[in-house]
Amino acid sequence: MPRPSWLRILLGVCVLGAFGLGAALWVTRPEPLAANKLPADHVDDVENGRELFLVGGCLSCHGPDPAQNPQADTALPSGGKPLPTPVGTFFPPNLTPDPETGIGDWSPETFANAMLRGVSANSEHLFPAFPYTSYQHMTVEDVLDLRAYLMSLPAVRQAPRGDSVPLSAIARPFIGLWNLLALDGKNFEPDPTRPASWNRGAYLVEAPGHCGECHTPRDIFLVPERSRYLEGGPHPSEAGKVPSLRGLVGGRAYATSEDLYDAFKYGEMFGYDGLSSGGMGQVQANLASINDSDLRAIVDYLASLK
Amino acid sequence: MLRYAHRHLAKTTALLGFLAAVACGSMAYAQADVIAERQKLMKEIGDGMKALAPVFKGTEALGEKAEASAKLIEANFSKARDLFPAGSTSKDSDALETIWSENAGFLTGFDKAEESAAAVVEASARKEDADFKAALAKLGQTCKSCHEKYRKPSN
Ligand code: HEC
Ligand code: HEC
Ligand code: HEC
Repeated sequence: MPRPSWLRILLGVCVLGAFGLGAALWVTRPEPLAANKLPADHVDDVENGRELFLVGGCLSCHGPDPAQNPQADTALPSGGKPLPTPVGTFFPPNLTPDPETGIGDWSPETFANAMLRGVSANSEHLFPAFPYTSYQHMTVEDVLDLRAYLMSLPAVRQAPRGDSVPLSAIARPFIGLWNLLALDGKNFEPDPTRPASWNRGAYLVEAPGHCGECHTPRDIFLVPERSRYLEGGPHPSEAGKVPSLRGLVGGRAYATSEDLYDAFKYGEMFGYDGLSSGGMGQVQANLASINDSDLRAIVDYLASLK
Repeated sequence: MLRYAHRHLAKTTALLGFLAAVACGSMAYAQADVIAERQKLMKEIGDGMKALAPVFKGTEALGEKAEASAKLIEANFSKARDLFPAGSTSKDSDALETIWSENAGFLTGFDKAEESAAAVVEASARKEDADFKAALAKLGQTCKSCHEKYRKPSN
């Protein structure tokens, strides 16, 4: 029997490696929702969709780019505004109901797949620069209402701008591996021992509000660390630190819950200067315009975090 | 002669070195100074805004006290705008490089803030509640726009 040459061993390792990689990519391939996951008898609530659009901060990323298109209505999510990230610059796509350049001809399943599974309209993995790692915890009903709201907006023709993310085509299939760590596909679990307002706040913060995307520190795989939920840490994409959301009320800046409410509602106008920099400014502006009961719920929940 | 020249050179070098060290030291000192000074002014501006909040909420009457707070805010802005010499940032500062790379927008931010503060002073003097509220909202927006673009979250 001839002794295997090093070359052959190497070849063997490569073949095995390629096979393993192929298997890993296959196992982690984009996995759409089963069609029966969508409730058949859902009645769209456009108002609720608008609320989730605000809490979810969709416009902060999916707004138009005034530099490219000065005439664009900045209140509509027609897409194209640059979103710089450590891996490159994204130009989040058009979410208005234009059938060719927006989501006009998407089925409810297609939209739900993006929000809950991070799977694009052409069945590829989406980059988690789109915070579906948080949106996955939304209820299916809320996702359908959000879609109904988007579909109620005026359609804007705005063709997608190519992202300038080097290696994006090569990296995309591998996002599934990361999702294995970052997605659990679980809905938000209410805590039955807590009042309804607290649970509403916890849901808004965790799922549509995606506060943890910035306020929860990330591990070496850049996955938010569940055990240190909302503890703050380095800013995920800019300079400086994101503060902790634990022990806020009774602390230095907010003596009472009412102060924290004022900080969200009025921000700098009342001298709360700590909610403007590093992307928080847009979040605060959104929170200032949501239903009062929802804002109170968020404050109730945050006030309970030790 | 050569020896003398050497010694002379050494002395001159030492002297120049000393002067350079003093200059650098005082520059760093001046920079730390300028950062601390503008932070103090900003802090007072923030306290001024906090003092105006109860007036906005209607739990305090609009009057001289509000006018004084607004005047302080206006005065502090006019002082703070000159305390951002090129490159003056450090680990103790939240100033972003954009202040100098997009300086025109930064300075316009100060113009707008001063204008809005003046409008709050004026509305307070006239005790005109609706005008006061509108002016204060505008002033708050000027803080936010500037901090969004030109200041980073603290370390
Ligand atoms: C932090 C920025 C950010 C926020 C906030 C955000 N998105 Fe996105 N979104 C993106 C990016 C970036 C992409 C493209 C990702 C990619 O190319 O892989 C995207 C993609 C999408 C897609 C998939 C489009 C396609 O072609 O498949 C949908 C749908 C979407 N976003 C909806 C929303 C909705 C609804 C909200 C608000 C609830 C929202 N996004 C909030 C950044 C964001
Ligand atoms: C894009 C990243 C990002 C997201 C998303 C985000 N935050 Fe923030 N947040 C920040 C940063 C950065 C700061 C510090 C801002 C500063 O120093 O001016 C901050 C500050 C705050 C503060 C002030 C804390 C203090 O110590 O004074 C509160 C409260 C807060 N955020 C709540 C929230 C809530 C609630 C949500 C979700 C609805 C949220 N944030 C989502 C980045 C974010
Ligand atoms: C034109 C720009 C600009 C405007 C307008 C502005 N600020 Fe600032 N502010 C800054 C910068 C830059 C810093 C960071 C300074 C540093 O750390 O070196 C800062 C820092 C602060 C700080 C932190 C000071 C500290 O203790 O370190 C507070 C508080 C503050 N600003 C309040 C306000 C308020 C309230 C307003 C509006 C009434 C306002 N600022 C308007 C640029 C501005």
